[in-house]
Amino acid sequence: MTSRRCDSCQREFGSEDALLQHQRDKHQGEADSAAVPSRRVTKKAGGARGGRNGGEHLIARWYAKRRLTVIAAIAIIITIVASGVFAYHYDSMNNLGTRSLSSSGSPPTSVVYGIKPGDRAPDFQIFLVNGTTTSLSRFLGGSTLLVYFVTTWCPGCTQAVGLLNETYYQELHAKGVTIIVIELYNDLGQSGPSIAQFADKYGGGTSKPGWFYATTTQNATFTYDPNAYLEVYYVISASGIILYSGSSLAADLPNVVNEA
Amino acid sequence: MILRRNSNNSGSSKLLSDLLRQERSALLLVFSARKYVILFSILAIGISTLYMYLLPSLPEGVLISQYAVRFITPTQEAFSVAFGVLFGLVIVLNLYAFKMHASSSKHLTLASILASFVNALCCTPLIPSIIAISGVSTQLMFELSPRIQAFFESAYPYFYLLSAFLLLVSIHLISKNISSCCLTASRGERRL
Repeated sequence: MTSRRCDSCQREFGSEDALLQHQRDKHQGEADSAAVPSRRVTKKAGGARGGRNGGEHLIARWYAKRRLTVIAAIAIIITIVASGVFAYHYDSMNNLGTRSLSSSGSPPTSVVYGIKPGDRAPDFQIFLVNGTTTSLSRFLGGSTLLVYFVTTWCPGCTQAVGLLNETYYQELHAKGVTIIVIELYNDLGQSGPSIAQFADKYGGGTSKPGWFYATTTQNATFTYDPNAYLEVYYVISASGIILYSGSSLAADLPNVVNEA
Repeated sequence: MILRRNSNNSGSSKLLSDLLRQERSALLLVFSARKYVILFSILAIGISTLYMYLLPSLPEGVLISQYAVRFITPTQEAFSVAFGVLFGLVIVLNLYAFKMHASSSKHLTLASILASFVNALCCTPLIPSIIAISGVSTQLMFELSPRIQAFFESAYPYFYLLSAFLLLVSIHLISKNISSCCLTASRGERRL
């Protein structure tokens, strides 16, 4: 009989049958894995998310776990840098002619803070686009007032005035509501169209009965818009009591019309 | 000199064609199944419509306003369609990648959504409230708040561009994963 040696473990066997039996019993697993290498490669490629070598896979996984943190950190850094550049150029932009809200250091002492529904509306000067100077008290006594303070460059303001003009003006006028759209003092320091241009473009002009466009004083701006919102509205009763107020007229118009 | 310039041009065009090849192969693979085509169509139309209402509504401080769509600008219209198509692609590719156990991309998509909401930073009380919480004086509030809101009001198209760019990067990353994982499998070892 010819001796047989197992190639895997180098054991000697007396017969070929014994060698074959040994290989079946001891080395069958190795034979299976040697026979189907492609299936394991495919599984690894699919299950381990495509990494071909260990290092690349670990880096990809590390980054994938922290991607949101990296993006958030980059966004915060960009915001801080942009704010710094913005603040740095603030004075030079003022010197180039950007309108400033106030030349004095602090709000005037005659400002009334914290007006809210239920309070009496403080009187203030109103400069109508036709050149007339009047005051809020002149409009009281006859009808409910919708006083809407706007900045002429604000998209929300243009939408609200457009909506008033296209949809709600007739209904409000029928109810006897007087609408006064007032530009906040100096457009809150930003460049925008004049209130007359604003009225022509979005509000259907300045000649609608019961609808007035005007500007006002710095005092009134600080009083009626203490939080520097770009738009704020007040519904004032004929007796001068504030019924309600809000900061987004376009969203609230259906309720304002129903309640007025 | 001329030869060098030509080689640079061919190098960059080769890079671009390599980049696009992954997207092309991934899209061909995904859209070879009819269900993904139908899903993409529905998503693209739905998300475009949603954005057409959302983008002009945000300055009012609401998510969806029935009247705001009247005031949509041409820029917002164009980007609404673009966002619908890109988000549709991202969602369909992510679904396919998830099914094939390939890596998907979520964080960039989220960042893109946040960037497209920039209109909410203008004309709403958000910025003034944040500044007020920090306890600044009224004078400083009146100086800072309108200026910041005016910046976002004028620069919103750039934020839309950023949002679209993030979506394109997300599509590229998912396409790369799908290409490396699933193109080999699609040659007979897996079924869609």
